[in-house]
Amino acid sequence: MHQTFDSSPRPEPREMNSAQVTDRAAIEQQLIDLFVTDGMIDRSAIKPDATLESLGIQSVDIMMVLMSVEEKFGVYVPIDEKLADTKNLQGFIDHLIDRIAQERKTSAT
Amino acid sequence: MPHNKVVVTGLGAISGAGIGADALWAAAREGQSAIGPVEFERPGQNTIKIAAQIKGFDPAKHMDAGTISLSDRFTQFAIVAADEAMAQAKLSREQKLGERAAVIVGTGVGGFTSLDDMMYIYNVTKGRLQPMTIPRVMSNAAACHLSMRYGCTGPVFAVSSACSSANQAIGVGAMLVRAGAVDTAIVGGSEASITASYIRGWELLRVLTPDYCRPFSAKRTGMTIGEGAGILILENAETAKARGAIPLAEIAGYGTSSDAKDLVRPDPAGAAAAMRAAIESSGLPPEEIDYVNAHGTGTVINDAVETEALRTIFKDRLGKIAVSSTKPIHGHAIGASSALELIITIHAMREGVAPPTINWLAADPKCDLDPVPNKARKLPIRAAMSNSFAFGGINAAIVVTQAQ
Repeated sequence: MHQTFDSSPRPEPREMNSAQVTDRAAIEQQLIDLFVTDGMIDRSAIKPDATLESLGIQSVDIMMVLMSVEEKFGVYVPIDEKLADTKNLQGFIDHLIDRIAQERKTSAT
Repeated sequence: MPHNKVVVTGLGAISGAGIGADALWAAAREGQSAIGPVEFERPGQNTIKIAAQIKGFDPAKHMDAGTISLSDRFTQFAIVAADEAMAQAKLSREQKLGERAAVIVGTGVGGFTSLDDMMYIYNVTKGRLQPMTIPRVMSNAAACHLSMRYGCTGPVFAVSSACSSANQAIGVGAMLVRAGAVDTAIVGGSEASITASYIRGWELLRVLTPDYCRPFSAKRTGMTIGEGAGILILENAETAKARGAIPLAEIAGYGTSSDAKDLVRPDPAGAAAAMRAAIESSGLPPEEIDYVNAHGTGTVINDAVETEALRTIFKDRLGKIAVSSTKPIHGHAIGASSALELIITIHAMREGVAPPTINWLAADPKCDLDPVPNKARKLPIRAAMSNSFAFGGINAAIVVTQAQ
């Protein structure tokens, strides 16, 4: 029995046009909201360069946020190298946006 | 205290690769993955659609109707694997093994399929429950069924330490034989928990890969759940010899440790402590270990932490040791996993072939070891080690050597 899907690594997301940029900003806002509600982070503390550590975000909070991302966007985000290496909030959010954009592109084709 | 030599005289397995230890080894050596689309009896809202599942299993081919009605799938798997191991050891069911025989079977969650059924019937359909649900679900059910099957009246119990269950069961069994408490120990692990709810539980931990399990590789995204059972017959080398049994390997060392730190985050010091204890208990210099079957789940953190732990044990020699993970073949069968992996390790040693880590794309600097990428390799193996590290911070390692 063999796996039947494509084994090639997924492509990196390409540069986006202006409509997609707006979309990106909207997703970012929704993700920040998730961090506030599910990650229980004080909205005033949210700054792009804030480290996950300084925000007191622990692995269990990340799992709560990833569950909400799945519920809200229908995207399963596994913990991969990029996510594991991310130290600040912006990096984390960028990674989530990339995954969501990627998934939307895949399901659109 | 006596220090008896402990030999393995029988191996048995059932896994996604099929029925039999030979089928498991052939799949591991050839890099043939048993992972494919998963089928649930009651589908749920799952995002992960793959597992190393045993499909079309018919217990009636392997046991009588009475046993089937009293047993969960995890017990049935253990029976299939144990019958094979007993046959290879030339031990018959007619001759009861008696009080000098132990049965120790590891499992992560015991009779989970029966538990899932009970919850569904009781809470959803409000139907009639299976009257023997509790004895099916209990984690010691597999060990107890084997004790009745072969007449083992010595120490019988389950070990439940998540992913380290089977290695601890095998290790404790070996220590009982080594100390002279018993002459024979039927040991291993069994797991049959692939229900939609169980997989969903793992999804929430974000450690399951949506596509390919690729341990120690760059771009790895996690593990894939498997199921099955692996059983080994351990014997005192002297009593085995006296009855003319053929030793397949020696269980030379066993070590276990606890991180005592975090429920889910692995710790390199704890992992290294188990390996060090296993090697010390074998009395071998670490230089004689030529192959390691890694825990190698394929998660970002496990593989990096395991590499770091291996580095503290083998130092500069690490790059020269073959270290592979066979989990992309049989999946992560939780409580059965380390039994399946030790069976593969013994075959690897006997055949002089290191099985590959398949789906490997490119090196990850955090995993600077030789994962035997994608293709099996001929390798004379004097001694080998098989690792397991569990949620809860429980680590266990076994060292095996060629039978003399």
